[in-house]
Amino acid sequence: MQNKNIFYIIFGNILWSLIPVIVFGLFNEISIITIIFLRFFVSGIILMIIAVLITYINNKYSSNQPLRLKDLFKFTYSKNESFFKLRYIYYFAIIGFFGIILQLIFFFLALKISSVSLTMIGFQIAIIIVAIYEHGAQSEKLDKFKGLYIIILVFSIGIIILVKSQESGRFSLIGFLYIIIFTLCLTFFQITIDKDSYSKDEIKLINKNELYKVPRLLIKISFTFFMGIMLMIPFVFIIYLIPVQTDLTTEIGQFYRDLSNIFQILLRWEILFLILGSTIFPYLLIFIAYAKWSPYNLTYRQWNCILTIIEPIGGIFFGVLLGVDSFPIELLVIVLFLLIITILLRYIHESTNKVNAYLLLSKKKGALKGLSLKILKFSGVFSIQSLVGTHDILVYIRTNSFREFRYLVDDKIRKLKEIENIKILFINKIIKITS
Amino acid sequence: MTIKALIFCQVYHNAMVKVLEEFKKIPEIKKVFSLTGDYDVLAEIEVESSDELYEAFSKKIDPIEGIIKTNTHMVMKSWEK
Repeated sequence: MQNKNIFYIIFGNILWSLIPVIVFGLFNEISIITIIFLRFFVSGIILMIIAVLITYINNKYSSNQPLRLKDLFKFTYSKNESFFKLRYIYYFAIIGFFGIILQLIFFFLALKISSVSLTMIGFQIAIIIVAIYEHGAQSEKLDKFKGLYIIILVFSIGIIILVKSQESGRFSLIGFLYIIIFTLCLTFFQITIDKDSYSKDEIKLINKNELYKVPRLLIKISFTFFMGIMLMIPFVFIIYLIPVQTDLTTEIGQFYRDLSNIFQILLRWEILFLILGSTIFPYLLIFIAYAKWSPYNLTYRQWNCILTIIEPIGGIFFGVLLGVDSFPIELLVIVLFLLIITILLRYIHESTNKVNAYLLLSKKKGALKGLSLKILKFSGVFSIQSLVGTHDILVYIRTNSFREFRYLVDDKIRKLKEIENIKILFINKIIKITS
Repeated sequence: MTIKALIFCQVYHNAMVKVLEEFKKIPEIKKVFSLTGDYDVLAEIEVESSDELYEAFSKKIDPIEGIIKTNTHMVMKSWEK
């Protein structure tokens, strides 16, 4: 089962890596703003319909606990405890616009001005920045494997820049500026997309019907797309009014011209593939993997970190293979080899730093109700069992480092006034798991 | 209705591998973990009745050599996310 989920993440990343080669041919005819508008607006609608359909099928044809649409949409107006306590709708607007729309605008501008392989360094740089951020935020250890992982990524970036700097016309300062802005937006997206936690009511719903997670994720991403698009419209209008001619102004002008034949553009195979093959299908795969993820062994987030490098690998590989980019074959092999090595190093880093433990808790009298859900809300807590015996609650914890484990146990759980005593049992080895 | 219980065991130093192997063979035991702390092994058992729990415990778990002592908890409710 877990192998299938890992395959879903790999396949999703491969589909995303096809985006540069698909859109490359469109740049001469269609505005990048049009491509982004159609991709996210139509994908948002389809993903929302899929969420409603899954709910309908669950309620009509399965024996699972019914899911109410009202419950599914309720969370969008609640506060996101993991993101400055902002309402989810504002959180979606922020990640939708800065994390997705701006990222894509500058990604496409960079692709148009420079080349696929050079633009793809943005992914590698974003991975390095996120790794440094996680170290700074004390959520992950920068061990020798992760250090080596970063060095190899830097080395591969160096080779790409060196090769591309020999090409005249596709190596410019403005191209670099677009890559930097795209990288910053991508970094922001990667850091903030997980800043989302289930409320107590949602945890109750998940425990009645695990399927709740899938339409919830679909609604989250649909709202993120819609809010991003909603903010993009005034943004492009304001940019268009500024009396300075930029590449973006040209694209916006083209976007207004494209609007008259938007439906013909929508029916082009490249746009359809971009919407279905490189947006809806990969998101569905990734969300299904997330919802069905077993809490034992490496977490979904850890596998996602390990496999995220597939997107730049695929982008460079398909770019050269399909003739939209050129790269000396010997150096291409070296770059791809180095990037594949980073997958291995990241796997070693993730598997050696994980902390798997059980906490046996004794609670104070009268504290049973509500305590389990209070603990389950903490990041790193995967399951809770209320017990009858010498202890009252068993908590299953998985963290990426001892630092994160100490923070969770000492600064979060131990500070709950309802808890009397904590016994820590580290898991050395999982011997048997049968469903 | 399925009854779930957690059996925490303390095991003699040189009997760990044998105890884990024995636990692996018992079909009622669904999960087994090797631990560090006050207990050495956690086994999660699922049965359909308290009689079945007694049978599994008395005939399959209790006779395993190498276990010093066990501490069993019944699970009232499980939560996951």
